[in-house]
Amino acid sequence: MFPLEDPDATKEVKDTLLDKQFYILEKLLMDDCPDVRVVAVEGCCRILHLFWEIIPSSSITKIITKILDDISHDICNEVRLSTLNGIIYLLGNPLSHEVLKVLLPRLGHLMQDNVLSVRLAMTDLLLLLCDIRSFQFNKVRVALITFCHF
Amino acid sequence: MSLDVLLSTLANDQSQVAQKITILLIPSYFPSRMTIEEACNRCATLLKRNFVAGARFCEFVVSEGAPLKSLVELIRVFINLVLSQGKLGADQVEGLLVAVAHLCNSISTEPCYTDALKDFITSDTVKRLFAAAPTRRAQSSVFDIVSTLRLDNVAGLLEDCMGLVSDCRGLSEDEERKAEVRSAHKLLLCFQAFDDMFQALTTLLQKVAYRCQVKFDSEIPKQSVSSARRKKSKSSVKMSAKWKYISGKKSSSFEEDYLTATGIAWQIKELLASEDSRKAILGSQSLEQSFVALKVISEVSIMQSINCEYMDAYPVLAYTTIALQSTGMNCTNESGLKKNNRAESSRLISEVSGILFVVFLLISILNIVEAANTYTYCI
Repeated sequence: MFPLEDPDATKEVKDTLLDKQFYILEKLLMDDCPDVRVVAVEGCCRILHLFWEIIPSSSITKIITKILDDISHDICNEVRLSTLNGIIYLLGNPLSHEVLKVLLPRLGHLMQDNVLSVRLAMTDLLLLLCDIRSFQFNKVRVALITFCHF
Repeated sequence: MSLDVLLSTLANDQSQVAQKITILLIPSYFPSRMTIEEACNRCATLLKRNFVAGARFCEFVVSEGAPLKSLVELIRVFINLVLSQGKLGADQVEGLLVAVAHLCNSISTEPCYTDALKDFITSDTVKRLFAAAPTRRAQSSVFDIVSTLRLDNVAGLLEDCMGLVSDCRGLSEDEERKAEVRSAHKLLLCFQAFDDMFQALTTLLQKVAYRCQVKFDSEIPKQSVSSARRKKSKSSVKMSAKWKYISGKKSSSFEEDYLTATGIAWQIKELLASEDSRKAILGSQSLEQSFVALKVISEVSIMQSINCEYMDAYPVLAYTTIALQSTGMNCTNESGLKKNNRAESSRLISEVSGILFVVFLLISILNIVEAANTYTYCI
């Protein structure tokens, strides 16, 4: 259920309520229960995918940075896997590419994850990136950029 | 993430991950949009950078859509690189040969391409490749290439294989040698030299069984098959020196001979696990001789296991496996099973039961001894 808003409220009240929702989402990303974190990651990526245009850019950057810097190093396998699945889903929205092409190298460590399903998801992500023609590999530190044609 | 991390993952990870990385790297290292020459050069570059990743890449490149015609050219390039006597390290040569073996295996389903390769890979080329192979894995790749393509005039290589399978001391503990011996088995089976090989191994087992009799006063049972029924083994490839590995050897200690018998027992057990080689063994004229020899060696292995550290379980495993497989084969014969076959099955079963009873007794004794030692220590 996002975004929760009162249609009769003023813009200031709506903005405050939206900020509160993002605050809760961030809290959920750091929840003690791994199952909650899994749902939170996937939910955040879905929200960003669907509502990218209406979410303030500062909130977008904050959430994505949190996912890529912290959640991708989570101790739970399923949470790390859901990070990759969420990013793969998010890449379906072309508006996300400008931000992600800068931040995606932070997921590089997952290629050497000790869980097979995470490594498989990482290869799926790389294959998807190869297919996305608008993705400028020159700005992403992957050595194979010189051979991929866009 | 650097390319080295990606290549390291390709080299070492599971097949599912390696396949996807291969898809990722095909546009870079074997692109279809460029000339075949350029594509082959890029693939060679990959191999030189990381020979294991390159070999793995070649393992999956066909299943991920690379055209077979281009791969034939790639095989030529790799073979020329190996034979060019350029400054290639042992690792790179091994990687090239392993890659060629994978590619040949992928292409083997298309006769037109295998024929083209046979024109290029002559017996002289094979000899030179084998001579250039610096490691066991590289040599077993050459065996794989020959058996996959079914090349002609490979008598010299078959003799090398015979040497490999006969000189098997310490084989059961060396994984690299095991892989090489498996490739040699495959080659000998492919070129119908299996009977010669099995006969040679049986002679070695008989020698060890005789030494067991002398050293431990074991009894060698009489064989039930009369000599009149024994036929000459039919081999399509004449190997002039097939006995050189048996006779003319320098005198060896009992332990050395026993370890050779253990290596042979491992080979027999391994061959019985595969359908083609199992049929070849069970249909061999040397089967009963090897069975009798293994029986003697197994008995000595069990009875002397406490006194001799080098006693091994493989002779017992090979012996029991032959017995069970032979029994199973007799049970699945057509209706009208002859009485002597049933009697043979019963004899085999009772012999195996006897051996297993002795093993059980020995294990019980060992457990009692260990428990007594522990009790004494506690006191």
